Amino acid sequence: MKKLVILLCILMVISLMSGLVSAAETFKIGFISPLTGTFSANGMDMRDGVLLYLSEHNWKLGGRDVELIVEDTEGDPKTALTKARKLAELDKVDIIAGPLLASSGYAVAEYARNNKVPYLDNIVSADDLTQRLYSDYVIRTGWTSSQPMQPFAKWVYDNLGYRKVATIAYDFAFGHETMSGFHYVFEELGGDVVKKIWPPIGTADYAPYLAQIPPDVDAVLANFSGSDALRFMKQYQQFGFKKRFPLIGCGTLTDEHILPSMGDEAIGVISALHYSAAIDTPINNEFYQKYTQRYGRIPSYYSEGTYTSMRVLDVGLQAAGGIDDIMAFLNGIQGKEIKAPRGNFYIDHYNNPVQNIYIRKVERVNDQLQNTVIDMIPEVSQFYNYDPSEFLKKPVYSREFPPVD
Amino acid sequence: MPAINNNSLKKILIALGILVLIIIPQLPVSSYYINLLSLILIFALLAMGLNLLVGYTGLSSLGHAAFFGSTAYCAGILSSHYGWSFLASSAAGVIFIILLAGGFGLINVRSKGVTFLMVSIAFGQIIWGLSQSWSAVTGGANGLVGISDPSIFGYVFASCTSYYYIILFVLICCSYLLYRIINSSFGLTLQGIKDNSKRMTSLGYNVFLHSWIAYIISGTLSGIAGILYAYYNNFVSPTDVSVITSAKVMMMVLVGGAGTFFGPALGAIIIVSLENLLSAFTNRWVLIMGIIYILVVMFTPAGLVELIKNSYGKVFSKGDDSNSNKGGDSRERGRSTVKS
Repeated sequence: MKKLVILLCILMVISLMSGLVSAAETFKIGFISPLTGTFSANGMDMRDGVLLYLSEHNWKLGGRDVELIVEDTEGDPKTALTKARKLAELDKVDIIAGPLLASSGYAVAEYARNNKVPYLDNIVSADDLTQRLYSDYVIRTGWTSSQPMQPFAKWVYDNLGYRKVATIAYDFAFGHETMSGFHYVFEELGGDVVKKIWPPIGTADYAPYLAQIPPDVDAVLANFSGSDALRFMKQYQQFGFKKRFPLIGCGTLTDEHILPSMGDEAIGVISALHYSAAIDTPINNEFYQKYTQRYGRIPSYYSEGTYTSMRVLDVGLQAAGGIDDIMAFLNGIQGKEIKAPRGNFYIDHYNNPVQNIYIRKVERVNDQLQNTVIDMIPEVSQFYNYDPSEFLKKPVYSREFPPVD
Repeated sequence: MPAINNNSLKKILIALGILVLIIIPQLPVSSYYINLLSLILIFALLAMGLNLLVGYTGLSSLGHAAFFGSTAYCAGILSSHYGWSFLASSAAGVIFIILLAGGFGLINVRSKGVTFLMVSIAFGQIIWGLSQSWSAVTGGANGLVGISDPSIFGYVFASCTSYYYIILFVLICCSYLLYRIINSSFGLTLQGIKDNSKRMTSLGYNVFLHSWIAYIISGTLSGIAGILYAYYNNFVSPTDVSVITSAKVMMMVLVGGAGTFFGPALGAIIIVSLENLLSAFTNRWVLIMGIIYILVVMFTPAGLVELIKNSYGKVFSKGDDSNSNKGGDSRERGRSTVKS
């Protein structure tokens, strides 16, 4: 019993000491993502994207040696914040990268803003981080939730001819922003979103929610992720909804992190995102090959997202040499063409990519499900076709805005 | 004679402990450790509050994160939405939690044992559900942002060191208060209730009233920890209210030692630091924490404080009757802690 106490003491002393050792002149990246808990699959895809890029480039970015410190957020915003603090204050990292969930992203971004610590947001898509809460210290290389959904609304209106749509999605920022981004543009064109349904994260039984879908809609727009997406799609088919109302969605609904676990229920679902593993370009084919070879699974948008974020860091460091002067770094990346598996893009003055949005349809090819690209909308900004200053006068897309009438 | 020795030694140790806590931020350590220490102190206060119920009154609650988190939300919302000052929002938070704990307590304290536990979880889930779905006020699953830095009479406690001292000050005040409560006749009545509530009733004590007041005090201490936490993180999210947080605090109480005064604080030190330090080394840290919990429950079911006390008794008092008496019943253990 005494030994136990001694063991604990030793453990703590060792861990305290390890923090004091630090190397000089290397560029330190502190990476946080959920590696345990519900979202660990997504979190590991994120980590592996970073590892692939760094090992491809001999652990050098912009000519500087790179040290990577990985921490687990457990998918919990307060843990994410504690870990971000640890990375910035104890490990003295040059930049914090990650996490996954909007709630964690909001918490870390607030810390970054207040303490002037650069924050590389490669996955969190909460709209306002690069809109009304814009900060020089928050650099987003991923997307805003409404970014693919605004052009998707127009595409659906023009090409599928739907006029009446019901939505069903997560009851938190990610769900609200994707659905309401679609809603806003769709109604401006003359379409009608008649009902918005919001099940919480981790819903086991979607039947009571599906029962609320009005009988006269042309299609149902959905957004879930991970095991929630799996369950939703299964039940949507089991209850016979798939035959009655075609299913369209935000890309995460059929993202590659979950697609291999789906069956026939996914076939035919049309969705929009800035990436698909099935994009047929040399650069994506190469990325796909390398990733599959190394990790034994298909890259998801999470893997591509963090992989490409390292490229952005690479470009910025090449131009500015470091990130201590944040304006020099931003000048080095804003407006520059960045090569990526998702297709080349550039970063706007609000630190968010202007990029292609792919319209994808799930098909079975060689006995494997994939998101076949059926159309592409080039150079989509987070503000879509609106003027940024006009756009920012609107409230952020939310559960209440735009309202269902 | 050894009793007096013991007592003065204890006082010296406590004074030394406080001195160390005051000096640490003045040493050239990374601000991370000061932040971590702040977090430990906050959870120590939360665990000591819970201990009054679990360790001294014999009511195991798994709903204390609800008190902790809802008060954090209350103070945080007043600060971020309405621009209230640190002191005003804290005062409002304390009033809020006294009312809330009083209301919940009226229902919860009517039950005992497993039923009490289940009702406390239910209350916790109500608060959790509210924090999750009342997004216009709480920010929903995104969490509540925009809580200002604490300031008192114009002086802003922006640095982690200055805020650390506020936390330390509050913790010392609350601990002293708790110590007086536990050693008062009220506190002894609570321990009587824990050991045999029927006998206490037949002796003429109002068991319900005593338990209810203990419930309110316990909830209020957790709430105060919640206010400190809201201003520490400048952020509150539904996970702070969840049953998982409640369970974590319960583990702190059990690992340190339920029914011992400093046990929960020791539990908070061990669990918060291990959680944060282990996870830097391995992804399997959750597993290691689990193994540690199992080991503690297997080998020192009375908690680490009891373990330390026993080994201390063996070394110094050479078989002093009360301290090395491992097999004593819970009442005996409780008493000896309070008196020594």
